[in-house]
Amino acid sequence: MTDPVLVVEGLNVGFPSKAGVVQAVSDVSFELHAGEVLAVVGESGSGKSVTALTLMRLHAKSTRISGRATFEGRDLLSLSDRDMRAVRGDEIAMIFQDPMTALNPVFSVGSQIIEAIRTHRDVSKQAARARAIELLDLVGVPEPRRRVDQFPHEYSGGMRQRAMIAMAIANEPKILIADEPTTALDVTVQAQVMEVLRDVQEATGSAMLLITHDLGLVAGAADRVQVMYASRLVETGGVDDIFYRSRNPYTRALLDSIPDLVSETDRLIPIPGNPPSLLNPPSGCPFRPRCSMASEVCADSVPLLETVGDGHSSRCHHADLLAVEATS
Amino acid sequence: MSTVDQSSANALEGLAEKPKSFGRLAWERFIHHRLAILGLFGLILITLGFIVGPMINDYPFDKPDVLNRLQGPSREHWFGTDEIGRDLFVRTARGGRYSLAIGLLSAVTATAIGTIIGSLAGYFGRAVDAVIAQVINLFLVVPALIVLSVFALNFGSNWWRLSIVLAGLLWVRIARVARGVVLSIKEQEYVMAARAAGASHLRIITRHILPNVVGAVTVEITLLLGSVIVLESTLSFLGLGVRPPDTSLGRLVADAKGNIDNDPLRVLTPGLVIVMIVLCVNFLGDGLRDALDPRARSERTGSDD
Amino acid sequence: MSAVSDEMSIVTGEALLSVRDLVTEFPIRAGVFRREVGRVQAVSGVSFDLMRNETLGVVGESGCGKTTLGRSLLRLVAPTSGQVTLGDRDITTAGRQDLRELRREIQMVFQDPYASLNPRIPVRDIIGEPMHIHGVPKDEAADRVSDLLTRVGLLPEHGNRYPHEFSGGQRQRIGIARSLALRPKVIVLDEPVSALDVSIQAQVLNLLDEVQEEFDLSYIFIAHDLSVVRHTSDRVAVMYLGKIVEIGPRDAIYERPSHPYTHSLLSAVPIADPRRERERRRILLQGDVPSPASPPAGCRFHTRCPIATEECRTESPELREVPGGQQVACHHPLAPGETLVDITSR
Repeated sequence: MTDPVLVVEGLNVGFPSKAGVVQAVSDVSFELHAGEVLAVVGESGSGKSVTALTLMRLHAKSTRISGRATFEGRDLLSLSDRDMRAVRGDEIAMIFQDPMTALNPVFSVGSQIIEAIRTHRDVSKQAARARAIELLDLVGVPEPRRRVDQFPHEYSGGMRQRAMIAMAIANEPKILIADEPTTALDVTVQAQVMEVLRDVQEATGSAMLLITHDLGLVAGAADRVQVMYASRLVETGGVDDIFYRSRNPYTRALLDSIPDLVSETDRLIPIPGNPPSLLNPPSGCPFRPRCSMASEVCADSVPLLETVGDGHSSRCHHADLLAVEATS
Repeated sequence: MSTVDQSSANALEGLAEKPKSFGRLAWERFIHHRLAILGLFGLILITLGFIVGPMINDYPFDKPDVLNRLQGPSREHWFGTDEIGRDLFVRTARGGRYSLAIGLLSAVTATAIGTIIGSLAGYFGRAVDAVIAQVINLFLVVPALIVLSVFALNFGSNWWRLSIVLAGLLWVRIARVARGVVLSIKEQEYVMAARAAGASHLRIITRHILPNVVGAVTVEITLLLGSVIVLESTLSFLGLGVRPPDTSLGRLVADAKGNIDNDPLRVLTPGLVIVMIVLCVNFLGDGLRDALDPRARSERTGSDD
Repeated sequence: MSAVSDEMSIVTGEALLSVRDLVTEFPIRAGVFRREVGRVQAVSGVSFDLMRNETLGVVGESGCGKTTLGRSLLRLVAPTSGQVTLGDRDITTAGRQDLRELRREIQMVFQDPYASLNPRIPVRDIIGEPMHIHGVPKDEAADRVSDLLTRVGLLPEHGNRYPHEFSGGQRQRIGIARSLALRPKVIVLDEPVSALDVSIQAQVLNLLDEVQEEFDLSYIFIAHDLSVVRHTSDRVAVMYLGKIVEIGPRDAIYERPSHPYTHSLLSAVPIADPRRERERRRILLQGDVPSPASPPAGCRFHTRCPIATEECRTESPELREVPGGQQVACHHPLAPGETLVDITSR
């Protein structure tokens, strides 16, 4: 594996509120390598989206952040606004969940792509327009010459998402952050868009941080997976490790609770209870109240993220108990 | 059944000690809105001042005392006297009561008319709505001041008559808001659920729709109050409002404008009172809007992290 | 099409709900006088039966009309034509009184847990409202509310609280309790778990399962998530642009799909199994779903279908029985075991 493109160390993100600090991300560390897809999986409240937004420095001024995010020798978290703006859209680009609201309805799609290009590159309008058409073609928008001047409302949902991808890759970023890129799309369109992302990634060699709650999507797209729960990383590893050899009770419980297209089980095994409050998290391991394996030690201390295999780590006091059985 | 039991136990985790109704939550939000509390107290103080003040400083509002005319503020005459020696504080208080009375009567009447018509338009839609919407648009275009002036010239400016005319013009603002709220609530799933249960139109309107309309309308009322006071003041300033010796805040400003070079305080005082009232009313409206808008402080737990 | 369905209900004799040629269209109005300039053909001729105690899953993507179908069944949206019969009474032509009575028998659970409960009234009144409307005596209603709350996994005390105090999953439970209040025979579930977190979905699905048995219910389960539908349904109907393109027993649909659209849909669904995902060959449809305001002529799927022929462009296919056991509306239905990829590579 090549040198990592991004190294995140000890990221903590808290939102001050009247009732106290809501700790959305706690002690998250990971590496991202060129050309790989790292999926960050979790449910709502897990901290996955906040992690991405914080890396892009798209957070509110009052947010409390600590930790480091080293990219190309610089710490993203301590860059000035100006320097960060130079990075966004050029070296690190983001694709958002809702294509309806992520594109400005009063400007043509083409002009928005052109803007993305000309903000970071000194090229003429004609050159940028030619590139925009090229990009639309690359992402599979039909009749790009005609469509480049159309407005977002004239595009369908899938096409808008493609347009957003075109905008994101316009400057061949080193990192692509995709935040729930297909959640708002129909499943057949979802397949198309994932295909586009795959092609685009191959063509540009960029690394992709894929944020999602959809385990099926992860199984098909990711090389490595990070599972988050209640602001913490609870397991990380290669995609096969996570799906077939998980050593974390939350990951396993999650896998057991989702209905599958192919499996024969008649009854789903749900995870009892609800995700914890981020304002007043339970003592010790955040998953303890819902965990079938919880014991005293789990209430006393938060387990550390420990290596359990080659490139595979789990945050659990009882990770060794899960070593014996495989999950699939 | 184990899943169910465990859910029960955990279900209490996220809940506060006591049930909090929507009204209670709104009240709490309101209390924390500093400007709104300021506005509320301001209004209370001003109103009390208008009522209690003249009881203490009990010069009659219309008694001339030419010997003591055009005096500055003193212990006898808190705001001084006007050009024929009448006590200005008492006159300001009287004028203030007058303005507030018109404001309240027209606001309440406009609200009653506007809420009913707007809600009907929103709820029944189609033909009914099309007609009412056009009527609303028509009224919105009409310049209120001109209509008021014409009316005052022809039919006299009795305070309650003026109130009715004002209500007759301004109900559309309430109607527009009510209609908008009803249109959006109508499509909410909980309204559909009520229909699915067999609820009659009446039940749906009274139980599900109106309580939510009240919130938005309340805010609009406070804004309306401000507009009415300014309109009445302008009318009186133009000489078409109250008839002397009665007075209103606008009239007081008009009376004082002649001497503005010598005695700017006389113009500023009623003018400032107008500004204070409208400001307080607006702050109050802001606070009410923030308190009653469910989307602003949603307790959603399922939102994106 | 009708003949085959009628045959089915004659055979089993237990059709609880019968839908025949249901059409629901919405006018598109424009201009000052709001003239009708077009129609959104949300549901264009749907027919099926619902048997006792069965769960019929209805799947499809956006614009397929499944939500409108659900609402048309309860007449929350007025059907343009067609028939919906519950037992021996016709919902579509019922007068106000009769409709009210009929609403005791068929209820709905809505998708959005945040919009389906009136934020201003306490939970016990939300669940109790249907009973109040239908004249159930106060004490009996109060008892039933407590029972229902317990049944869906909450505590009777929760009746005093307000919706905003609960999480999404809990609110859905309240919605389910409300739908059970009048002891209906049929419940239409419109995307009941789509808005919930993955780990909560399973809880609610299990609850629905338990409740179905205990209350002797039949479900129409509308969803876009094929995995969820597979888990919950006995029979499945696949909709596309207002029509049912395939309908049959669950295993037939999932293991021996016949309609090219069903094939594409199934191949697009991600599976939480990396090995399978790596081995899969996906069928990628071209373009997006056409607008229901202007559906294609002939077979509505022909614009995206990899095996469309001239016939498909002009003739609209009817639902016909095929060897796999289901009914399909297609001029070139695929045989059991045949995959779309085979054909397109020929």
